[in-house]
Amino acid sequence: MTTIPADTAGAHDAHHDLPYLARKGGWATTVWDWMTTIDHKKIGVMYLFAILIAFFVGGVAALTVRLELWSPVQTVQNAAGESVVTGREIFSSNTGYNKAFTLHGAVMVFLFIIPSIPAALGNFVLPLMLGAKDVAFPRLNLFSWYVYVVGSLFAVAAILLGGVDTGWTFYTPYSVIAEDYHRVIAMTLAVFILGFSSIFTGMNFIVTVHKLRAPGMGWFDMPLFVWGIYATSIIQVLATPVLGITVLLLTIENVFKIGIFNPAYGGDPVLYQHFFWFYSHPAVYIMILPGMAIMSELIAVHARKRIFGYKFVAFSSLGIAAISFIVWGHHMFTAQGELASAIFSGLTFLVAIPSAIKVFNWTATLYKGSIAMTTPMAYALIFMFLFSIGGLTGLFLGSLSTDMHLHDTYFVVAHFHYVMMGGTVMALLGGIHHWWPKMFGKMYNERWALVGAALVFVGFNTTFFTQFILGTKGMPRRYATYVPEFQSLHQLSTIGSMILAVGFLVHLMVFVMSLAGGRKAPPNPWGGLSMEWETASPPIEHNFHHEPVVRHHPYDFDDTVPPQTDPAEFPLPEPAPAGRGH
Amino acid sequence: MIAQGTGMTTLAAEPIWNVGKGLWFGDDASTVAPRVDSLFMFIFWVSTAFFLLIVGLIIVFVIRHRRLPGVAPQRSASHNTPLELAWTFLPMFFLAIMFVWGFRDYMYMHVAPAQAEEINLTARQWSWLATYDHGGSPTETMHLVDLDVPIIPVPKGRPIKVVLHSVDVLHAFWVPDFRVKIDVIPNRYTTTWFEATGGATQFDENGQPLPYTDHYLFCAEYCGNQHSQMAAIIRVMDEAAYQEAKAAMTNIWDGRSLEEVGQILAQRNGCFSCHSADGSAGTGPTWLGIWGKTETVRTRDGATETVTIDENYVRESIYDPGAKIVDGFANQMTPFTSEQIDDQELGAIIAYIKSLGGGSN
Repeated sequence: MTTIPADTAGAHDAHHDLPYLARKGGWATTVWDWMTTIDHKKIGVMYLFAILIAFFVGGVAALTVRLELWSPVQTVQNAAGESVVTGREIFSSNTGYNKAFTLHGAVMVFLFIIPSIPAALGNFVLPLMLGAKDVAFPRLNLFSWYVYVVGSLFAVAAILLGGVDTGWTFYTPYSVIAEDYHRVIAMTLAVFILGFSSIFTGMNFIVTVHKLRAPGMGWFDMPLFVWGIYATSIIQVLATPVLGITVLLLTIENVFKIGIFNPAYGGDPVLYQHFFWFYSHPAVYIMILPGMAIMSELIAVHARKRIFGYKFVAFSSLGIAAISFIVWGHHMFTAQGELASAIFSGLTFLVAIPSAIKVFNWTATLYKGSIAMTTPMAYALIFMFLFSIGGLTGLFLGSLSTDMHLHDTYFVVAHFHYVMMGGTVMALLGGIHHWWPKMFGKMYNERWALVGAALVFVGFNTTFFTQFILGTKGMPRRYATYVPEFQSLHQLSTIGSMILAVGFLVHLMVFVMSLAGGRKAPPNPWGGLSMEWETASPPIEHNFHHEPVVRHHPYDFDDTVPPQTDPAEFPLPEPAPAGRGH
Repeated sequence: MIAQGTGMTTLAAEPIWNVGKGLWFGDDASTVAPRVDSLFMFIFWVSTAFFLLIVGLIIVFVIRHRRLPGVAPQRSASHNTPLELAWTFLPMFFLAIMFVWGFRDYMYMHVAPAQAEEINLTARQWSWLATYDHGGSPTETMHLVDLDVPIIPVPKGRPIKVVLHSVDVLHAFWVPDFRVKIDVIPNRYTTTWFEATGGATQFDENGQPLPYTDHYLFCAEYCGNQHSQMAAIIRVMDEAAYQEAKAAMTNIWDGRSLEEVGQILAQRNGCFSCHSADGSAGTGPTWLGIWGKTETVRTRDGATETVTIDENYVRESIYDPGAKIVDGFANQMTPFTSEQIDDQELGAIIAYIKSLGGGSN
């Protein structure tokens, strides 16, 4: 880390006025300082590194999966008239492929995307936005990071050493009747440990939002990022325990041979699916809500416009959180009765509404704005493009008769990648660029970052749009081999995944260059109005010199000169005619 | 490889929103398929309209309101309750149509007509076994990808109810050309039905039209190592050909040697998805030349011992595969019960394995 000269204004305690990144001694001291820190900013940065490592591991697994699918496996006669198997690109058998997609799914879901935005960016930004010194329980915050690391190592070890090939859903009875069922128990235990990390973080944020808002900050003066993270935290705290119950039941079944999920003991395998999705469907919203939360910040700040319909956007987050608990059955339309399917289908259509509201409101926010084509704004636009496709393709799956055809096909794979990756990951990338100057005190190279964003956009659509067509034409998911007529679409998808990988490498290069020799960041490079832009870049250890006071709404771009900026750079519109206000 | 259809199916009154269907779907070969496609295309065009509206507005705003140095944003309203209520409730109208339409066709898919003929379909890792109302099962196979898979004949223009169950893990029955899918679950029967129309005419290698059409049956619920090879062919034929095909499968013992019967039984029970007969590697040991061989095996308590592959070993390995696993292989096989393979059939399978050669006998 590079040391940045401390802002010494109003120093009452020089130590606490240093930037949080300032080194306090030699290497050993610095490492110890980071490992024992209770500073939410350092914990956020530590989470950011951890999730990016997980993203890399999951990404490599994804690329091997795509490469293996370059050609279909076929038995053909060779010149000598012998039967030979062709088309194995990477793995010598189906087992290797099955383990690779399990690794990809489990790592991306449990190690990367669930903790990504709340734990990394949320930890860093949320207390700053509230004008707080730290989260409500700083020690619990550090503990949750360690729990996350232990859970992650446990999960990777369970997959790599044991080799779990069940897919990330661990469906019974396949996951429990194999002679190596204990690997699945180990894997679910890892997910259980990770769940605790998630619960701790969620609880911490809920209390922080309730108790540590700066004087004068009412609920509707909070930035929408805080609203989104708050809604996410509620789901984390309420849904994650169900995962613990499921693991406990799996263990009891295997130790005492009591029939719960395993039909060999008289259990019901579909019951497992209910338990699993009762957690995992709300978890889908643990993944997307923080992405939506970032979106509101990116759009407002980089278009210099008050978010259109602030309250609709805020309440739609809570609406999504509430409905997310009652739609789990739409993962089981092909496995459950007609009445249950009809109810879940209706509820699923209902959840489309608050998501659509958000997209409409973001679009309206752009109207008459001052739209800067920065990387964060580029990612906000990419999000709207991809997330709209992801959301709209959900309609085909929520509708019962079409889902009968599309369930468990590549259409579903494409749909959730458009939502999870096209939504959450694009928002995460936008958010990292948006807060990068604040986090590290350095600017990044805008031109190269935009090149990276363009590659990611093209690569993503090439990879996943083809998969919608594969799905409708009849390609089932989780297939190590396939019939030859699907080859050209699979190859197009694989080429897309390579472009995507190059895009991510460009971003990595931009970040490394920025840390190594980036221009020093001003405290408020984008002209933001929320409180994180009132402190230095990077922030001082205690965030603010004095307890900040709320003087304006976080999106009041029409009437507020952004703090710590040159007024000429962010001019205000003409004063409103008398008698007209908001 | 299934012969590619080139003929066109023309329907009397194709709804306007079915434009562009060719991009998304292959053949439609059942009465329910056009219904599913029609709703799919309706949702597609409604979604496309909303998507183009959003993306179009974004592009216009981004160009018209791009940031210029020294130029301030313009004032505009920051909320508009009637507008927001409109875009909250207007989509609900379309969603309600989709929901009702989807539910109606779903019920059509789930309630089989009373006169439907039943076919039982048993799923196991990794094969499909169809049993018809006269107790027979298909004997014909087709080479697909790298396995021989069964050909399941069905009549054209008559409802068939499929009664499914699994002997081991979850599977799912999916015939993409029929747009029909249902999970197959152990300890529980699930049912679905279809009326095959056959779809477009298919042609043989010489371009001659075939009297039947073939359609993939895929397993759609992940079921382990060879999930992607758990396929079958549904062959749609006219009534006379169907009755003939059914008659041909009645008694596999008539006019066949013990080895030939054993081969058919091995095929039906899915043995070949793991045990090859030509020496190629698989999930289980190949049967070529295995008879009389001495193998090192792992017993259930982890000990190793050597056994000779004989009648007793084969019998034990069918009814209790985990007892002695050949070294180098995993215990992946679901045990058979003596109802699924009886003594007489066991004898035939043993005779077949013997016929593949080996060290002694």
